[in-house]
Amino acid sequence: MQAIAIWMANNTPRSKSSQFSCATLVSGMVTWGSYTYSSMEMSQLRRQVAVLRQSLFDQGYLDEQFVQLEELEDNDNPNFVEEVVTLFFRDSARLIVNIEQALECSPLDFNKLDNNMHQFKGSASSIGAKKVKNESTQFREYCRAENGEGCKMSFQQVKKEYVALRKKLETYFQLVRQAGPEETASRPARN
Amino acid sequence: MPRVLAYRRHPRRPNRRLRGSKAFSRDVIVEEAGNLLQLRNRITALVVDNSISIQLYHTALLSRFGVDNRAVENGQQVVDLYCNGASFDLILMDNFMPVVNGRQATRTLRAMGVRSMIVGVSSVFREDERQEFIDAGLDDFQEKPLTCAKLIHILRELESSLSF
Repeated sequence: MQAIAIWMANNTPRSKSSQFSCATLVSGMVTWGSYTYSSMEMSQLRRQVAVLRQSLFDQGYLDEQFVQLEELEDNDNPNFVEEVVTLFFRDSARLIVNIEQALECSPLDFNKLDNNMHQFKGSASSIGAKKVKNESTQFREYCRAENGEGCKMSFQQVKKEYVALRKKLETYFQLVRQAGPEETASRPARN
Repeated sequence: MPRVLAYRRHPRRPNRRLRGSKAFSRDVIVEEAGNLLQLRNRITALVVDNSISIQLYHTALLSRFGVDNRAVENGQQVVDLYCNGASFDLILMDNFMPVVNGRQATRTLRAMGVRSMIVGVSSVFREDERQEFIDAGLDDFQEKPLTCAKLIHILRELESSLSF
């Protein structure tokens, strides 16, 4: 048992966050960061992650593009999906502000609104943000029709979906980080 | 005003109309990527996009296929790179960017005589947006999001043109 513990400590892939860099198997318990879980709890966490992930697809928050991102995650890129998603929310905050400011101008510059939303939609679709993408398309329809009121109303919807998705994904990634990488705890504890 | 060369139909590459591919299930993605596309040549690519998340995603996708790549933020930076003597086999060009957008950059590069494969990667709303971008001198156009399958298609086209 001790030999396994030492081997694990030496061979666990180090993730970026140092608090999760040690895992030891001690008589059926897994120490992950500052928490100690039984292997049953670990698989429960992992189950929770899977359930939460599936619900994001079922409820239409995410589409197949998110799977494309997950495909690019591996040992060299262990937090790839979280990185891309975080960067999206950081990038697009600027576009949201641009649009908000542009909507307060009179008369409305539909070209500017459309350009900003075009960029926003491209980035949103690339992370698989389904509802956000659909609302963005709606916004562009109103821009094209030069319907100012429609734009303002539609933008509120875009922001609503954007904020909701951000919250959901924050929860999801927190849970993913708690559950840890697959390889480590999938090895059953042997006495 | 420099004379713009005829480049829309590359002499070796037919001008194919692009169809977006449907989303693939995870197994198919893994299989396609696994089968590979064994690239015969060392290919270099440049990602041109204002959004950092897109840059990260597209460069990771390219790296997955063993393509040497880098990213820049706007059309002006691409033109500067080429003016300084850099060259890439493939350019993935977004359209709406600050300073110099994709259409302008593509036009400028073609006017400079650049023969790299330029693929427009942008979100589309109207058909005329797409056509205007293609008319600026693209070899190909793919609607965002860029998937594994779309990139495989692009790389295959590129490989076949490079083998002539």
